[in-house]
Amino acid sequence: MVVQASDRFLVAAAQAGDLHAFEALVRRHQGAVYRVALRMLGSEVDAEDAAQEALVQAWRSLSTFRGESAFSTWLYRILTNRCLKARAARHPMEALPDVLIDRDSDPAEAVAQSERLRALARGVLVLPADQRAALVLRELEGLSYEQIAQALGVTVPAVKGRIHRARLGLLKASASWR
Amino acid sequence: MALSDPSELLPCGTKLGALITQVAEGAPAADPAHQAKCPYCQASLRRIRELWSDVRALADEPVRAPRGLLDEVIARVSGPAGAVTLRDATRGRTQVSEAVLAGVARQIAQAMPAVAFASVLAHAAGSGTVALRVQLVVAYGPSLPVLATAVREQILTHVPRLTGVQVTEVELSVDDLAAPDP
Repeated sequence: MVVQASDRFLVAAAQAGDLHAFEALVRRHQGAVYRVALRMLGSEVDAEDAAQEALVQAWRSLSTFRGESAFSTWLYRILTNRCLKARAARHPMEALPDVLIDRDSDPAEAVAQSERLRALARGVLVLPADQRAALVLRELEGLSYEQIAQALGVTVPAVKGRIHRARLGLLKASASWR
Repeated sequence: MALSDPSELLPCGTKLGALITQVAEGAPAADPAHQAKCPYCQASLRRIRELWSDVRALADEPVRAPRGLLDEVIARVSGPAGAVTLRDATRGRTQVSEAVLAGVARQIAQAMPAVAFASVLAHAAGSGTVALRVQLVVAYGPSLPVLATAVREQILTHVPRLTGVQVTEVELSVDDLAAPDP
């Protein structure tokens, strides 16, 4: 049957103690959690660590989730906090995984684009942490300003300011690779 | 505050940030007539559009969660669970965990055509017996009382057959209608 249980149902079941329901939630959201962690931290190992810690913490603090935001937004909040902490303790600029190349396009242009995307991902990594989190959630995950404000625990105007500064910073930094 | 940063002003007086917002958010130009003939605005817009084309390409990169992530998380959060001891075992005890009983009941419920998802909690209820709480997400369509009765019957029949554990009660609720898979 091609139908899905809602996050709300699964969260309620998981809160009652059903680990299988939590597993369904993890299955559904782990891709986004890992993706944000990778863009925030840059290394696959660190991203997997942060994603795992965030998901474990989500289970442990599930009783505190009251449904005021979407479950995914709540997860982003746990994750970005985790990434900001992890990041403070580590060196930036670790190797990034190769991005995939679109095989239908001109190979030379595809390689050039792949290199530009790696440089761009590195450019995101060197943004100040609070700006980086806002930019990743907006530009790479497509969250609304309101969702980002909930995820980062700040006001909407603060989010707009961070994204504004992050975009300017990224544009200036891009002069070194474009 | 970056909004008043002089490095953000183009020689023509246009704010770079406004041009970025225009491209990144698809916002309308503040002064289209000026922009169309201003070389500074045109040059900046070209740079921004090229960069944002890469930003969108990066956003579209397929990034998959590592294979073991789900299992690692679940292994770390599963706690010790209760178990039911079978009554008629001889020469040693046989125990069946609550998690296994919940899993078996869940499979039985989810095998019913209209059941999209079943959440099951199992509680050892006394020697050789278990009480089950079943919450269903169902597809729109079938009669709910008929479906509920059928699910309960299936569980009452097959859980004892498969596990040797008797079911004292099946507390059943239909909690949600399933959304079509996007």
